[in-house]
Amino acid sequence: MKRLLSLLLVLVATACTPYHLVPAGKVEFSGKDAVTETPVAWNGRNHDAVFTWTQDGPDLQNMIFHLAIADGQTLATSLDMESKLNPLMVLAGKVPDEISFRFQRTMTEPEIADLFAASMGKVTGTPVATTNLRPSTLGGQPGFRFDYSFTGKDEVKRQGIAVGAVVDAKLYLVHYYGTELFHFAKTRDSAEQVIAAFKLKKG
Amino acid sequence: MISRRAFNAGLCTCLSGALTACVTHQTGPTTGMADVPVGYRPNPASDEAGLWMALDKVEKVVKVAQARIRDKAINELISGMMCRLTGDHCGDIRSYVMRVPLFNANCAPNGAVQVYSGLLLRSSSESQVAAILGHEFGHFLKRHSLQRMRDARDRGDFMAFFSLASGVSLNNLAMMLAKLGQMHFTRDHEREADSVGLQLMADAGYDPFAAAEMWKRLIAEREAGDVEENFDVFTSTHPAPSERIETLTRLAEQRGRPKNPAPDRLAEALAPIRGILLADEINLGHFKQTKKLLDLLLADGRNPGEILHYKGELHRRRGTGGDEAIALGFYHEACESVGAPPESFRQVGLMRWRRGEKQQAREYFHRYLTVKPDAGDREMIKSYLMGA
Repeated sequence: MKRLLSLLLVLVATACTPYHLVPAGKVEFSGKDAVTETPVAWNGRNHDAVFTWTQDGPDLQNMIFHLAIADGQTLATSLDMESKLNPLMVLAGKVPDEISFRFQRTMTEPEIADLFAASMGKVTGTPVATTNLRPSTLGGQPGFRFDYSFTGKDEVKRQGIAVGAVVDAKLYLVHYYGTELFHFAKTRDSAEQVIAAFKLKKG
Repeated sequence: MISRRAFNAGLCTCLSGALTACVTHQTGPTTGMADVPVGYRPNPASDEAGLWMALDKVEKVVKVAQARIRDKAINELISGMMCRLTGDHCGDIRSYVMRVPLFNANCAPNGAVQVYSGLLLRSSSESQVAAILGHEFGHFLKRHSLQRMRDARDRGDFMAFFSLASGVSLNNLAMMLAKLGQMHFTRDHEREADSVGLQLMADAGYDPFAAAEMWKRLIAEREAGDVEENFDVFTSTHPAPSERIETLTRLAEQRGRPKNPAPDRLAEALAPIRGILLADEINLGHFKQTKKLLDLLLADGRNPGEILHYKGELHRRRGTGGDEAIALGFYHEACESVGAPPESFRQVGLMRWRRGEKQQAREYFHRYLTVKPDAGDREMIKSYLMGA
């Protein structure tokens, strides 16, 4: 009985976080008016308003797409603390002392990099450092690029790159990270090609 | 004989208590065990040796953790304070300063002390830190973790025996009663640690009144954030904060102020890393509590420019209503105050840039890059200057 229960739990957990094949070639991000091309296949997962790809597993490397983040939105739905509040508790004045870090259409590039670091820090549970912020392009649109790094709670150092642009007052941010020891370098070229091929349909 | 599983459960309970229970955990009166002697090592065949072995493993992880702050000044201060507080036990204690934005510390039975950065940031004097370290050493000296482990094991044994003898399976009520007993036990330990800690800090030349002051600061911060203490006389692991303040004040009055000025090297040792710790607090997203904390630190008067900068950061991050204007005001104020980080100039520049005030923005961008020529975003800032 216990084994059956364990199996059910595994199945439920898996069902909640499904990965699917992202084949090599053209990839369209549904509902986001964005496309790219990848030279290799990935395991993809659309969750939390974020598109996440990995090759060897999410603990080893991830390519992440935050697309069309509008003014006032968080980088991921799970980071929106206010949306989780119980309306009855709010009416009773019982609001937790917790704010969300949100994108604002007037943000400058250093402020977006800061928003990213703060948001990623919430997700990873450890401080995230950004550096080498400089002008760049994404999908042919003027934007920015920076490097980042963090050490997870598993004590594994990870490094990453991020490229973004604000188009029509919406933030498009694509980033890639992997273990500093091996997986970042292993898939970096593919990730760079995905970033280079990224396009907005409107752009 | 107790089963391996039961022992492990007890051990886990104890480890959890040993490593997280501290300033925010409470215990009670004396337990009748002798104080830990200097240079003590447990009998290898004892349950205590098992506890030490597990904690030695934890310490190995802590020693190399990325979250460990390796800054020389703050580590030397904390190690020195522990020696000052513990006297002959100095050789039994090893201190680790951890980058964790929480008000906490602990002293494991094997002598490993962890001091969280959130505790250091919140303390306005070395004596306040000494009050907490003395309290934690009190747990060590009185072997509270071992007692908690044995208490948990004994309660488990009793419940198992009751279950077998009566043929009645343990129900929720029995479990709850056991838990209530355990909570009362830990509250007694905390009271004892408070008392021992205060005597130790007074003996070491620190100001014993700082113990209650520390709690008052913490309560002010929590009240600002509407954090309910959730104290319940039956289930809380800690005595009520009001009780602690009252008791600590009474004990301090018995000891009196130190005859010579208490050492206070905290601000100097913390200065090189305080900006990092303030940023960690901002990243928590606890607006009201952090605002209160920054007000307290500003009132302390040390490097006000640094605190004003992070008040600006707090409002900018929230970004609602008039936060933009408030943040800009704090950044400007920071730029004219002692201790402002270079990023204050950058933020004024960015906000002026956003408003289309290019000339002023340019001035502040220049000031930023002059103070911090190797800034991680210099290429971006230079692009603004070229476009301005």
